[in-house]
Amino acid sequence: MSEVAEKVKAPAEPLFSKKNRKLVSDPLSDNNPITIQVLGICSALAITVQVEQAVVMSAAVFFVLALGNVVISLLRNLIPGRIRIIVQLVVVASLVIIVNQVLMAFLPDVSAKLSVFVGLIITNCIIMGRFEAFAMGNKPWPSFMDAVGNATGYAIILIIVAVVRELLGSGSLYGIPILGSPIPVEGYPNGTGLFDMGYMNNNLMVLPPMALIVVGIIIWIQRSRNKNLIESH
Amino acid sequence: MTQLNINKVKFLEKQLKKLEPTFAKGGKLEKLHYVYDALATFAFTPATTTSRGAHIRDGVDLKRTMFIVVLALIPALIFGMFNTGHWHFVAESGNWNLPYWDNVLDKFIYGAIKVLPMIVVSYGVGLGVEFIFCNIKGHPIHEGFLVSGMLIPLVMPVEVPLWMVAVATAFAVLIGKEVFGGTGMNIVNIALTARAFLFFAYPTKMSGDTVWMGGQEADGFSGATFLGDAQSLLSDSPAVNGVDGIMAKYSFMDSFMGMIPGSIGETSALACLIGAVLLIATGVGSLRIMLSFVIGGLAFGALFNAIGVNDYMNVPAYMHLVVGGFAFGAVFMATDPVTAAQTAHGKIWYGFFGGGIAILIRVLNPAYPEGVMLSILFMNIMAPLIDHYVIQANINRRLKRLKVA
Amino acid sequence: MNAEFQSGIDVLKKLTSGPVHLGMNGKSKQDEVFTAAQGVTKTSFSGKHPIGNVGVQIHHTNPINKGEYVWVVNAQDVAIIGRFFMTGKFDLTKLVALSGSEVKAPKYLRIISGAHMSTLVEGATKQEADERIISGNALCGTKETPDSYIGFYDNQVTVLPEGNQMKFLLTEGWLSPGLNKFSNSRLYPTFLFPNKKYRLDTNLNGEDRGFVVTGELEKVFPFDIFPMQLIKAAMTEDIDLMENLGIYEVAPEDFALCEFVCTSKIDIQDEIRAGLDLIKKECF
Repeated sequence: MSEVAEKVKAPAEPLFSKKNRKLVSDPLSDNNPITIQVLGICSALAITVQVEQAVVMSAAVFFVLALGNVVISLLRNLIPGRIRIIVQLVVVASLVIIVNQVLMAFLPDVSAKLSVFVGLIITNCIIMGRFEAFAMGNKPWPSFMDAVGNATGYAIILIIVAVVRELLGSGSLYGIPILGSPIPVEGYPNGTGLFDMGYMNNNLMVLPPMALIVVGIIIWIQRSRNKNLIESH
Repeated sequence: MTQLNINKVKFLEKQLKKLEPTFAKGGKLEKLHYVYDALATFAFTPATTTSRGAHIRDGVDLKRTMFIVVLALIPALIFGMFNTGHWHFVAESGNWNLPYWDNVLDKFIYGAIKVLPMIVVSYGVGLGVEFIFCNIKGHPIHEGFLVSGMLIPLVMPVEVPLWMVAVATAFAVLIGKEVFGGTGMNIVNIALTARAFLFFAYPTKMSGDTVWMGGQEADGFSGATFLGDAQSLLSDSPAVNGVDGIMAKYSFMDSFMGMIPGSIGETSALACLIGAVLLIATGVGSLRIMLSFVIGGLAFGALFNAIGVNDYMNVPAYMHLVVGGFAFGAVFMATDPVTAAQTAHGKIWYGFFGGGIAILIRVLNPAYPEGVMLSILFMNIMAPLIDHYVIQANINRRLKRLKVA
Repeated sequence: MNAEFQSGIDVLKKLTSGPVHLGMNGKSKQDEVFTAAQGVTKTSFSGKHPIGNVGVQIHHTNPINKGEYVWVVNAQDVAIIGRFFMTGKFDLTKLVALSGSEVKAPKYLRIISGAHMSTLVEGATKQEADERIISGNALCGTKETPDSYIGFYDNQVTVLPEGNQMKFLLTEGWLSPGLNKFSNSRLYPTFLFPNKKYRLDTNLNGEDRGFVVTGELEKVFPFDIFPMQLIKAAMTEDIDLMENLGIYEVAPEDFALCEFVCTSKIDIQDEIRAGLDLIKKECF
């Protein structure tokens, strides 16, 4: 009886039902993997010096998480409970190797800058967390939506932090000098743009502690704006 | 107090009362309530009375405490202005041995012109940030910044651009204080947070040869501090000829009086000592911390003298007390009641290691010429841990008694 | 009186299985009533306030541990109990002190416990300013109106001037020379004149602030307890920490002086009371 009921029910759920849309929108703010669940912090601190790195890293995580979630979801009924972590690791490791090879082939510069952090996606808590918490118990399509939401939530924070750090730390965005250049040129001994007026790059922004502080400020703003997130004590 | 003055005060009081409804809830300028509150309580101790508990209260309030600290800073400030002027003229003339007590007024005026804007910026930005936050969070504006606002300019080299002072102050008030809940809740010293921010963010403006000398680079003349020169002993090309050379360039007496280049308020150990006397006499500053800080510095200095494997280690221990920010840090920074250790025993350990680690960083770390700032910040973080063990000892005594009984 | 007090003590000894202690003033000459008392452990205490608080006396004779009980009876109440057992009449006649700077002539009054406040203070005060009538002493009494009654446990009525006036910073406020300001700290020059007399009012003399460690609390708290840490534990409702820090050994009145000297103007007695009430609710 129950099988019949499920069969009747399954097609009734549209692809972008309210529930599915919530899977995507929730991790963007109220349940953001970085600022609320405080997962994947290490990479957020390490590779947000420049926007380019952050974008590539976000894309890599998006790819790994989306594909991984779908694969795990497809396999969820075949994986024995006891060795599920190993299976998950195998899946994520294979995907990360693909990403790494692609980056090395097509974006060697960025790949060199990201260095081990691409490999370390394997240990990114967000990915294993979503596999374990969502994909193991849900169908492929919702799992995909969940991956999209979480990867995007991760990407948003990463890019915000990177924008702040690159702008204030190096005076540029995506490698394009916005505030001028600190390198002296003919007629401008202090550099061009704002630098000519005495502005200086903030070295602290380039150091990892500042990434932590920027993430902290984002969490602070988010929590003080969203009353649901305020804890009583 | 003449009759006229009393009338003026009464008039002011009446005006304030008249304005109150405008700023009260539902009033026209409700949003500025806390600004009104801050200004009104600045001028008048409010008429609030006790309700339960102790019906009478001690005459002191936090404003008085803060005011005493600012008062204690005045000698350092005035001497700092004068000293700043002197080194500007030294750099201008290129003569290191320019007579110190000549042209006193010129030097003082030049220094005042340089320093006063920094004070204005520091107070303006700091209080501005506080006003905004207090309005958002809806709590009254506290007076803690009265002291921080004065300390921030005093721990900076005179050539720091004003916008950097502003950025550092905003950062310190925001990240050092407001995130933790405001005055009395901060973990690390606000003024040192501002200095550390600049130190790491804009290192070229916080160390090196020219920043201490009014920004001038004279030919064949490099102005540096004792610490800068001492640091160079660790490098391949020392600026001075060993310990003897550095002791000849900066005598103990000059350093004690403060007749050496350095951050605005920190050079004169004498001015700090005058402040220390006031702080200890009024009981605002902790004698325990100051003494143990000095003893810690001496102990570690002597220890390194005994080891003496590099030239910097051979700098006499007593010299460490009068150069750089050691005296200023011991008197005004380490004793900050909010961030220091809070138990009597804890204060001793806190001070001892604060002073000791400052010397440790100075003589062993080639990257940071000034260890006092870092060591005090480090001990700020460690203070709760120290207190924890002191309190745990008290708890254990009580538990033991319970078992015996 | 002698006999009444002694029989009161005899009754107390019957009421408890533990020992009966008698705390006495060690500084002034002790009345024969107390020195002649039989069958109690007598201890003399001398020193500054709060040495008279039972909390301090217990702490220094036999500290309370978790799970122990100490009952405290006032000397006058001991005599009342004795009188009841001797005569069979519950006679609540007792002496109370009428005190405070606004009282014309401070004196003792013989009253029946629970007397109407107006019968005590009417006509006895100076009426120079708004007055506050306190049942009990100035540090831990209760604010009362003339139309109320003296508290059952109180042996004193205090009348103080209300401090409902603003104080200008240069004349009486925080920037003033402060020659009329009493302070336990040395922030006003009055600490140089220890014998000066003051007319203290009920003004808070400041505003409520976060705790700042001034070291003043520890000076007026003669316990082997960390006052500030205990108060903070009470504020944060941390029962384990309160127990560990020794909340069972204190009563709110022991913190009265701490509250008086507190620079941050925190209502410390209230916080301790709330902490004790919380423990009572959760643990007993």
